[in-house]
Amino acid sequence: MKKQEPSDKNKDLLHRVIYSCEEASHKSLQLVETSFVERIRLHLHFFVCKACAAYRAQIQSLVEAYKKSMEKEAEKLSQEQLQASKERVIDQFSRK
Amino acid sequence: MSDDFRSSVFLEILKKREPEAIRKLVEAYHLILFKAAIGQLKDAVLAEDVVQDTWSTFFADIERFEGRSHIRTYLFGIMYNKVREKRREVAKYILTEEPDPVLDFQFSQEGYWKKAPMDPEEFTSGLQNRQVLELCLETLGEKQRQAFYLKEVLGEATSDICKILDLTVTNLGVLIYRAKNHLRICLESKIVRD
Repeated sequence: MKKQEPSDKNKDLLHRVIYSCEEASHKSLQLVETSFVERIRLHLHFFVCKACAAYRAQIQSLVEAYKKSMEKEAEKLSQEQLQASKERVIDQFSRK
Repeated sequence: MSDDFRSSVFLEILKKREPEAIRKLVEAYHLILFKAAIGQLKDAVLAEDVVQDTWSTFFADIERFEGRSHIRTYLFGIMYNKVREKRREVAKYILTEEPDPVLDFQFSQEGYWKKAPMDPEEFTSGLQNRQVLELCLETLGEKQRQAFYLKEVLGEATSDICKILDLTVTNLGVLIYRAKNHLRICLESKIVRD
């Protein structure tokens, strides 16, 4: 990563107009809806800050890897075992 | 199909333990509950136990269920309590939700990265090693893991997750932020080391 921190001039701009890296990392993961202006500020930050763009890409990769990992774990139980497990529930709780 | 489960007619039929209604419900949610349990326990056999226990509790308490929340939300709420019990039983997971001091030192006082995140390609390639990811997942707190799974894997609505885990939106946001950053930092350290 060549561009770890922006130059002093850009730092000032980043701070005043388009968030610090810390704010951008929080804003990019927050759950509540953000305003149009906030979204623009965030996009601008990611546009000029390579470190934050890398951060965002890392987060996306880890979410994808996590999903795949869970799918693989679920495959350990065969379709037959899963079906049998469902049938046990249906049989156990249905009115006889 | 899940809209059918909202109807009071379906709920009444279910309370009468009609086999077809039970089959419909089990077909709709058994697998998703099982996958979610695996997401928390990382063990297919333990997860299957938890799902069976979830259904037992659901049917034992069904008379009291008034349909104020969606059946899916209600089922997940039960399941996560069962997961908590199972974890205490096997006692191999972190149960506390202590603040993670590492996260507080990622940024300088001015709000810039102290150490820039690793190159995303290198990071993604390191993630191919599932063991690394699993090691890091095991260091997540219980609620962080639950919130992360519900949000990112199942794509549940924020309001439903808050109901299931009994959290405010703000707390949920903090949990997910911390889960992602904790994982990211842990993975970076393991990828570099390996």
